[in-house]
Amino acid sequence: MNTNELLDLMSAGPRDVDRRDALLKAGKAGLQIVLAALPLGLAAGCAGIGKLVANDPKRAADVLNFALLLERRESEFYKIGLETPGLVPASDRAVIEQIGRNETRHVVFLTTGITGIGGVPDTSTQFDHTGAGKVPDVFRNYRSFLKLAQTNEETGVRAYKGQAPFLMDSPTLLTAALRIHSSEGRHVALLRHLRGLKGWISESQDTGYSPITYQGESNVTHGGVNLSSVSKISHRALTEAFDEPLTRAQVMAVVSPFIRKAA
Amino acid sequence: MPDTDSAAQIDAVRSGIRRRSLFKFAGATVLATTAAGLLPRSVLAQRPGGVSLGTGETAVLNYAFALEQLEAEFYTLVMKSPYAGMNSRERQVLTDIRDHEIAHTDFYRAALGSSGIPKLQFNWSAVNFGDRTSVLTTARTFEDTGVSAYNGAGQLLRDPQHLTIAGKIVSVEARHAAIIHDLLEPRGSSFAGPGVIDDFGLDLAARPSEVMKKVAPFIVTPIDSSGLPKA
Repeated sequence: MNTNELLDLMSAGPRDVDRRDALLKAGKAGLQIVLAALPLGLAAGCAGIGKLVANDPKRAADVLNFALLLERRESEFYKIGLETPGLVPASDRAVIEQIGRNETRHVVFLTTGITGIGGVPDTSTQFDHTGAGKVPDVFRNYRSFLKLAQTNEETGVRAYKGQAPFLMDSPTLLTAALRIHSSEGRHVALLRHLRGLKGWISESQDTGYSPITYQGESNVTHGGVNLSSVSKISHRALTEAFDEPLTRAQVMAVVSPFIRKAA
Repeated sequence: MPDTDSAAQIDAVRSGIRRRSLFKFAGATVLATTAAGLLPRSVLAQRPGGVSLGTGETAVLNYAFALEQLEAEFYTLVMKSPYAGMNSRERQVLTDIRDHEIAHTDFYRAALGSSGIPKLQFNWSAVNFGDRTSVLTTARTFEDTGVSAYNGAGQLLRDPQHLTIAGKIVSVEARHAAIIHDLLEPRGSSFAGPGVIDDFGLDLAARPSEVMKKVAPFIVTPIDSSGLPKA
């Protein structure tokens, strides 16, 4: 199975169960090859997978499925945005396309990874990108689209940061999560720039759709060091210099309005 | 796909420095990268003016501290003598990044206390501070390298609190990297394109030995990194 087939597989929606199964069956041998080729050897049985997966594969898969939920939402969000005629202006298209591409790859990677450690990728969740009317014009108004894109990416950065310690027993999964985490940091900096904002978060200014997404960002105490008392740098810059984690519960509070309730 | 631009740039920088000051930099490079495997520990310890990162968790934090020192001094010099034609956005970006990197060094200095490495000596002869391209491509290299260093070092940490703090910093380095890429290629795809993100959507990650090799041309103080935990 090559990357294109994997992308095809992952773009199969929850209603395309037959298609997904057929693709999975066809690609079963290929999946092992993909796993073997993954950076840092993300494949079941590799030493780097570590204690976490060996002792508690369910927990590892659970953390990755939480990440998959966020990535599936982002991937679909950009896909719809880019396919909506007249929404993304030509000037910004290269940026949005690159971000969308990376999010789709995260979906592929996590799905492959979850399967690789013996878990079941949860692709059942469907999304309402208007947030049940919170952002009604998200695919009609580019400014709304960018603002929600930024909110999603900031939330993603904070979510991965919050989950990283839970992956410490698995160096391979931790490193992969960290590498996704920083890619989301790159994404959000550019989205902020496209909106005329600085690439970094000053104090805890809510520049998105959800105050929780920026809650606590004005913190200047890290590991017991209160930077205000040891640094001459302005408070504003001190808050910009460090991003803060969010708990899974906080992330779900941000994301839940965007999850379509089962019919 | 490798970031051929910055790889070529680093090679150029390195060979330039070697030509100018072969002895000194060859020494620093060897110490920083391969000495641990080639020389007995006593030789490293005896090296005059050398700095040891320490061992274990301390070594990982000192490794990050060294990289932050490098970045902080670089941006301080950039803003001390801004290149010709620096526009207002660039001025704001580079001033902010300078302050962020100084904040990072202030954090490590305070957190590490007496276990922290002293102020390192750097060599900036490879950078033309009067030239926009030279400054911004160096900045791009440092930010991308910083991201790769934190991503690669996360798995060496044992204390979850340290991992969280490293996470708080690396996403800001990633923001810097993206914005610097954008200054060089406005609204292009390089900020998160194939030069830095692979086919699985994963950002750069590098082992300390690879990172130290990249930054060695800029670091005068010999660094003994042999106490870093092995992956």
